[in-house]
Amino acid sequence: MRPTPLRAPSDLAAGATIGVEEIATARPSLLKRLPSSGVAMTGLGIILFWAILALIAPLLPLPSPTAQDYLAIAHPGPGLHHLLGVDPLGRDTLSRLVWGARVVLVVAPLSVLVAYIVGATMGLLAGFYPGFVDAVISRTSDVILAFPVVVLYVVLIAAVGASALNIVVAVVLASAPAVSRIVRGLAMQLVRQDFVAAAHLRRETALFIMAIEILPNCRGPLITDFCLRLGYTVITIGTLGFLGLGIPPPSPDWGGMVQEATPMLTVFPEMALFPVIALVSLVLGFNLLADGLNELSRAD
Amino acid sequence: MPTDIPGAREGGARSGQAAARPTLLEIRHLRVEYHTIRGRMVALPDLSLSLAEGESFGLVGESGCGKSTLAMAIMRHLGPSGIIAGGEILFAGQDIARASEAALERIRGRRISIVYQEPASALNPAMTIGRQLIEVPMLHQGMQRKKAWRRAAEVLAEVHIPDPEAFLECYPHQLSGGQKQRVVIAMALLADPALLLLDEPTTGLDVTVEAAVLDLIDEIRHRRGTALLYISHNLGVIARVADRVGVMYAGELVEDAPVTSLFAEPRHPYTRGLMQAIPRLGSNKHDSALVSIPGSVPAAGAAPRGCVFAPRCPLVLPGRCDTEPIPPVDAGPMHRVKCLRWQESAHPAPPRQSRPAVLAADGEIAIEAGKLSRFYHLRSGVVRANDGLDLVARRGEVLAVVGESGSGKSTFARILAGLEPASEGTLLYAGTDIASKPVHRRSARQVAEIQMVFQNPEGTLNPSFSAGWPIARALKKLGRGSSREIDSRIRSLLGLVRLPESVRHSLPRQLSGGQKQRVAIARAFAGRPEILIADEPTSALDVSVQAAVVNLLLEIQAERGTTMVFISHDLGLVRYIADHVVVMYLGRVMEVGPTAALYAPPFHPYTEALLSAVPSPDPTAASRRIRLEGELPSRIHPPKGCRFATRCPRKLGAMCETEPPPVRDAGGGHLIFCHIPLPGLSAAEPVRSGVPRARPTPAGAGQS
Repeated sequence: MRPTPLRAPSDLAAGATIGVEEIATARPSLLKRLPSSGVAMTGLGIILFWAILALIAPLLPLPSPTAQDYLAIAHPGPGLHHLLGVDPLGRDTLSRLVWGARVVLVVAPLSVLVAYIVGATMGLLAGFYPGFVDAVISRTSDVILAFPVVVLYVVLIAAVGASALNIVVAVVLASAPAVSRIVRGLAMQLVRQDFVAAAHLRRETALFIMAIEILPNCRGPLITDFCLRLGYTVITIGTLGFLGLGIPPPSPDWGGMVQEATPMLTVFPEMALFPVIALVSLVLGFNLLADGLNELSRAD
Repeated sequence: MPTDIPGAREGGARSGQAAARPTLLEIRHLRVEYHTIRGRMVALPDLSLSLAEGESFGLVGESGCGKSTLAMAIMRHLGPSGIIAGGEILFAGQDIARASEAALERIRGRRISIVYQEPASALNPAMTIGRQLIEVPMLHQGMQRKKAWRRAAEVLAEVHIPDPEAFLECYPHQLSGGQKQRVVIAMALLADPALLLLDEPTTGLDVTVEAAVLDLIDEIRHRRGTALLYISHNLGVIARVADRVGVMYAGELVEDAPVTSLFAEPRHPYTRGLMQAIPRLGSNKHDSALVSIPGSVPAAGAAPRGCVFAPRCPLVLPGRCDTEPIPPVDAGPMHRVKCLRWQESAHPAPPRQSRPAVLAADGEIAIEAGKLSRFYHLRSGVVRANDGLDLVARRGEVLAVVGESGSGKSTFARILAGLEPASEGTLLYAGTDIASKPVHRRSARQVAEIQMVFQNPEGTLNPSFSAGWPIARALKKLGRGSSREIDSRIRSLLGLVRLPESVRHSLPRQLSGGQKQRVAIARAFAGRPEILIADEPTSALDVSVQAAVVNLLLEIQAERGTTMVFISHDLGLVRYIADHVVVMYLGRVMEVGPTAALYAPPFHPYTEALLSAVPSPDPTAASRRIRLEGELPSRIHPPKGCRFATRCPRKLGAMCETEPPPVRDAGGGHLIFCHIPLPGLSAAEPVRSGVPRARPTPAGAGQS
């Protein structure tokens, strides 16, 4: 309660009436509210678990992921020497999982990030320049999106050869059009807003309007999509590895590990089980984080 | 102040008749709360009111005061989080607050119907009007399909829909906004309810359409004897439809009284504030100021202790008003008010002020449009949004451009600002033609000198940046002031629009609508504009905030000698603010002239209809009733001659449809584009005969 001094109504002439309204306090940013969402925190926990393991991999008392223990091949199941057992070539499963996390947690974010840079640029241009530019970008995206993703990957990697870089290229090619579509839709709405007209009225350049006025306002939907897309990309990398198109051996790769274990599936199912659990948990982590972020951004 | 004022007594007599009728709805100590994850919010702490059969009760207040919550509580449609936490809602003796679902089914849609603000969302876009209308009698009354169809056609005829049989086969998207609202009203009437709740049913409609819908509501009420609970933020509308008025603020009914006594003798400081915030009939910026209410409506659940209005009240008594709830006191017959100082608050004296006198008609020309046109080429044809505009704005004046939706007034604003190029014609500014020069082809100076304030406060600021950012950018890009000066210039601009300096660092979502508009004004003035275009800058704001923004604009405009082009559909506001007015219809100018001349005969028939349609915030003022027939013609195939010919109540004949109207010069720069010769136009009577307020008038004069 603020006591207001007594004033006669006639004092309330033009200028004096524009009273100072209180300014609402700022709502904490999405990041600061993250702890309030159990779902998001669970997802973040799983992701951090793998990220920390990957980070400290060289410090862990584990055998090299490529070192073969010929003695263990006879009894590949979990044991004292190899906590999660060994693969058909006698390599330590736990070590390969931890080092495999390094690969996946570098390649997946990198490819999604590049896909976002390319896709956001395409989407901004398409949303800002309706007509010819939009038509070219949108139709090109449609053509790429019309391909079944797996076929696209297989054809591409088979053509240029399997390597970490080519995986990044493949993911960018497949994901950028989808990102472009989201950004285009948001940009088309934002372009019509008065703050964009106001920017024109102070002679801002097109680049400035796209990058500074429009792009930051797309971040809400994009953050959620980024997390989801990370999850998809982890699946993609796993699929490619399983098809033998992933990171070339002998580098540890979760998809590849599943594939190498398949001939032994009936005898030693745990060989395939552990990398599958790793893959599923990481994807789940990204999806839960995306769900939580989505929920938080809708709670306004 | 004695209470035996003729107006009050007369009003008492008028509602005395109403009180003789049996009570239909009685709300006693109603308490409504919303339970959400963020906690419990009290939307209506303790509300009591009663409504007699056939009575019309108007509920007025600004947004966020709980008007709609009350309507929803009466329907028991509060949603999963809304809870009636106490009190009774007695409808014909039955307590709705405690009724079973089965009992509610017998009341809702049969005895009580509701019409919402947004007619488009009340209709299912995938079903024909007929199928939606027959649902009501088939479901509620078990009527046969064929009979229900006939009944639906009857009701459509009752709401004056021409050719109802064919209309039943239409889908909602084929109808205009006014037609949709008629259908929704028809739907509400199907069950012949005893009580009709109307929640801002005409908000968002054009003024001529609104007038026709208000006529319809009036007619239905008198024919059927339906009681109305009419919710609106517009005092003019309330003055027209209500017998009794309740003023709501922060969930409380702060004052309720018969309509005539409320408007003649408003007792609560908030009621007075609302009335002083809108321009009074016949007043203008030269003789009186608008009064705004400082501060803003508290958020639901955050109402202060004691009197809810105390923090914004000019008469507040610290230590008394802010300690305990204020009980309602009788301020006259049927007139209750929740204020300790109601006796001191009678007869608000409109604050006098004097601004520089009207500019001479031969002042220096700032902008001049010649045959200015803007065409949009669509697949279905060419829309002539602006079709040969001729107009001038003189230096330092306020030129208002008035028209309903589709008139092309905003298109003109965008061409002038350089956001769109004109298709044809000239637009002279400081000797150069800028008609087909959008901003990127204008010189830095031209861009800085022609700036704009936009309509919607929600979209005017980039939500990602603090409020100071666009001002700083504008200063930098428009090159007014060195970068070292920018900091102090931002401070002085914020001071100019009376915002605290701390606003610089606030994000738009922390600011209210009025604050955002003030930041937008500061931004527009960063380049020291010669021309300021204001495109309906206050239409999305509450009236008390509108007053502050209008005062501010006028003050800065007068101080700096800026020429202001004020785009608006609000004729009352335009009369107050403008020096010259341009009336537009379907892309053409109908009438131009000095404000005083425009609001008096001779009129263009369209201007006459517009003026007659505006509901006056004075229940005793009689106005001539001129209503427009039909719908706005297609913008792709407008009438060939006079654009207004298809709806003109004074149409002369075929000539109007085929030949463009000549100019009739009424002198002093007052031009009317009409086939009717000047003597014929001059013969029109004034639209309103302003009856002095305190004088007693025959009962019900304001309603007839």
